[in-house]
Amino acid sequence: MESSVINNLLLGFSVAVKWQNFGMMIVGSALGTVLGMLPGLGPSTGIALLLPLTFVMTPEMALITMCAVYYGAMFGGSRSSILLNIPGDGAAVASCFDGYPMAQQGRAEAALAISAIASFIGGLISCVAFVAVAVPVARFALRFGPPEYFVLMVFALAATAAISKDALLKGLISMFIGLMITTVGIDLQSGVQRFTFGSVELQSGIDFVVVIIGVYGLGEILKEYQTLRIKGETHVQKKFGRIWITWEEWKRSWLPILRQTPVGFFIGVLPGAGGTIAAMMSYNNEKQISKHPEEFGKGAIEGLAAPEAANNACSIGAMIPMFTLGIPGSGTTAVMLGALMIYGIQPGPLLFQNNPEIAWGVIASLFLSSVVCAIINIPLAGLLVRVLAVPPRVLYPLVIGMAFLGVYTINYSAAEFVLLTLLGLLGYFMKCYKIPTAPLILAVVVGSSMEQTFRQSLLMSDGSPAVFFRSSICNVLWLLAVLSIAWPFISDWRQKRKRSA
Amino acid sequence: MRRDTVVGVFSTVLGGFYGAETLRIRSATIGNPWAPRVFPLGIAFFLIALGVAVLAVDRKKAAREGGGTQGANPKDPGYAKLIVGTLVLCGAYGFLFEPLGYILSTLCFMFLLLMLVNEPKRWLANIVITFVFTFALWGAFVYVFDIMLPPFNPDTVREMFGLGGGI
Amino acid sequence: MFKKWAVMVLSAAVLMGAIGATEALAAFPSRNFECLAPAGPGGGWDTTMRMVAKVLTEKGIVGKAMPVINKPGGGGGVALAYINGKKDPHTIAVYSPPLLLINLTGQTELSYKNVTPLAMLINDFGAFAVPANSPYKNIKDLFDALKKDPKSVKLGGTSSPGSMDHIQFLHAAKAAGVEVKDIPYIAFQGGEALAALLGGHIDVYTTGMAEIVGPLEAGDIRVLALTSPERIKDGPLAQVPTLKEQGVDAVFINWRGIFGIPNMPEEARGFMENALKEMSETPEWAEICARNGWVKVFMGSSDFAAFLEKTNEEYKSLLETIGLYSELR
Repeated sequence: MESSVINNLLLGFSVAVKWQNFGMMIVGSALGTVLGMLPGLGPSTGIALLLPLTFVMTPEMALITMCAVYYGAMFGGSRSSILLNIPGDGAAVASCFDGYPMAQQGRAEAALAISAIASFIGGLISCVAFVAVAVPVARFALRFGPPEYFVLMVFALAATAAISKDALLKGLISMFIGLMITTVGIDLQSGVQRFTFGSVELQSGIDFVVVIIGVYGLGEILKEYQTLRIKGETHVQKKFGRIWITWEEWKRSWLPILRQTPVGFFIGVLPGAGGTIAAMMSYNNEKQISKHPEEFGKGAIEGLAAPEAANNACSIGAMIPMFTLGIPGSGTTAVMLGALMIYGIQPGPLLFQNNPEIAWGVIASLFLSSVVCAIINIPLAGLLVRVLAVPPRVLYPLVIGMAFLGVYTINYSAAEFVLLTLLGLLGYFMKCYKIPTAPLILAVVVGSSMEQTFRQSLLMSDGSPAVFFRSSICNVLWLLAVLSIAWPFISDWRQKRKRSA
Repeated sequence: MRRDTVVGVFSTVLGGFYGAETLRIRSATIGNPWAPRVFPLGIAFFLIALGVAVLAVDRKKAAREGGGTQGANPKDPGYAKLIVGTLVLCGAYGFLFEPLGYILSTLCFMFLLLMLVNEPKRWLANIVITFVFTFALWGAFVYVFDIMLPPFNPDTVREMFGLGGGI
Repeated sequence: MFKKWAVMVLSAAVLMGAIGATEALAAFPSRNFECLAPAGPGGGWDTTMRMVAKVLTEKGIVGKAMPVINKPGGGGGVALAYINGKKDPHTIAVYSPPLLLINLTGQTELSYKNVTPLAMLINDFGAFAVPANSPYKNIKDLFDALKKDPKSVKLGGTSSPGSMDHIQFLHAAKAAGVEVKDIPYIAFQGGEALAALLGGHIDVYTTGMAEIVGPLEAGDIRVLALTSPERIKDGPLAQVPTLKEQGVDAVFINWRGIFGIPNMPEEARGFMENALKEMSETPEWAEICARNGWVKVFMGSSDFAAFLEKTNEEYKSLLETIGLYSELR
């Protein structure tokens, strides 16, 4: 068994290092990184772009390129989170929390470096996990049905609302506004239109990327307008150092990276969850177990390292259901699956028997893409960081312009522009009145699935709520949800007792 | 007004409005007719409850602190103009993007936005930035990402300006 | 100063519009096309449109460029509203059964009557799958169980009730004499339904053929029936019986075709119909169909229109039975 895995991997590497494949991997990684950076555009755009090329490429080459794009986008997504506080995609939202404060404090180089390093390590470990435990983990993930997903989402939301202990009530308000946004559109279970006000565009709901760009990007800029003229010509940073981290910073980050990688990996394997949940959960976890949670949100490097490692681990994990069971685990893997079918290749367990060169070639290419992306990203970060030297009065209009174009590409329609503007106003309002925005974002990402899994569960049980306690997975998740809300209070109480003792 | 008072009122009013809209959702014809309303009603309930809770907590705090407004950060006196101007431009961009096409509308939008934020005295820089931005992104989208951006659309423009069909 | 500028830009725009209008009166095709995929990149509609445009231009059948534009939203309704507002015949779109269904379920007041059918190009069929360890060995077992108690079987599919996946199952069940009104349907998104089937959270999965080939080959699921009129000739699906073979007189076709603007000028319509006919006879198109697992067909403009009318009535009566038909006109 051991030796067969090694033999297979060697076969895989021999496929992946063929010069055409390796060359396309570099192209794909670079393209993915750029697409990931631009708000609104993401890996699925890149992969759809590659679809016509499948006619001239061999299947393994096409798949390797697509994986590289997918992977590169995960690296790229957090660049704009750190530098501009605008997440390139949902999975990069958590990177804003501490990455942007770091950049504002003049530590952009360290932030960009740790994000690439954490992504690299998280990805590499997940590749090993892919080889070692893909099949059993995928089988286990199938035990997650609608009730389990519902409780998982309750847990994720509870943990996120609880991270801002002082503003717990306002955090919950933020969360419910997010859930409210997701109820717009045609209800999946009944086909009934809700809150569409007669608009065709609203029938398919409000895309969460619009919400992210509006609330974070536009909202942040509007808030910064308040002090634009006072700050005048001051740039965030003028002199730039090497993109690297200090020994001190590494000592703080390595454990969070190792701890949160498995979390991200497992969330990735679940077909109903995704990178945003993985990143948010790992951030929450890290803050809860940290010795100095008060530094989180103010530029704590571990608060950036943890979600970065987790979202890359997640993107590798998301390929497992596709390879082992033929189930697309995310929108992007669904497009990849479509591409495989154009070649007449059926993903699933038989892929490893019938086309080992493809299956193992892709796995080997994931290892290599981690390295390639890390190598591309460090010098690229050195270039990108110079954005901070642009005075805000020029930078902000450019960012707004990019945001609109990014939003256009979501539905290829300008109907969302008005929505984006309104959401920007909402973001501005929330920032002015100190309502935390993180719960809103996570709620927008999981809200629709949360309602749907809730209703699917009740349909499965003919209306009996006992279904939410049907398995030990459910019960454990309920326990975690309760704990995560109670934890800040418990730790407070413990500290008080220690002090009085 | 105190910050949290605004938040509490906002949440309560939003919840009330949303709850009222929820009642107008059509009944489901398949399964339980109330099913599509249950989740939104729960959200409305919590928004109202949380809003009231925030108000109550804030009342207590205000009584303890003896009222008064919280200290605000120093603000630029002209910032409201920037915010309103940006919002208006963004809205207009949304309406004109498809009829005028990407290039025309983006040139106008970026130029006016830069004039607003980067001030009219830097007009030359603004023009240069506008052109570089518009055409660089256009090239990237159309030629690199293979994404079509809307072209100039005579039909819609004619309709908008009420010029009728024929010439 | 601004105002002057804005006025200048606008008048230039209007002027260009006038030029555009006179051009549209020239011979067809006189300018580049707009090919609409009413969904995001990567799906069935998008792939079809891209492939059609590719063959039409690469073989020189159409001498103008045919860039594909994605207009997702409203299950195709956004693109339908867009094409319905077009006066220039250089806009075409791809559609399939949702074109009729989104109208019948009241998502949009526009229908197949607001576009001009040009040609039907592809057929695809539905499949009903159960987990490998399911007690239902064939479609008859399943329908018998449904006849005894419609609530005893948990049926799942991708996308909402009244969509294609749902309707194709009801169509078959009705033909088998099942009281379809009370069959519950659990809607999922993306790959979640397949995962729910493999995990045993639902009993039956109704979907398109292509989705279930992988797990079928791997032996994770059993496919009880296909909705095609006759057996698929090769591949793993060749072992799956059709509904008809098992005594259920029902066929459900997931047709895909190309449409033009409403009231398309006769000259333009004729040109496009011929171009599509020529395209569907090329070896390139045959190869594309084979690769994607599509069944290649061709049905011209007038037959297609008649087909749509008949199909629309069928869907309507089904939707009426389950109460999903909605008068929105």
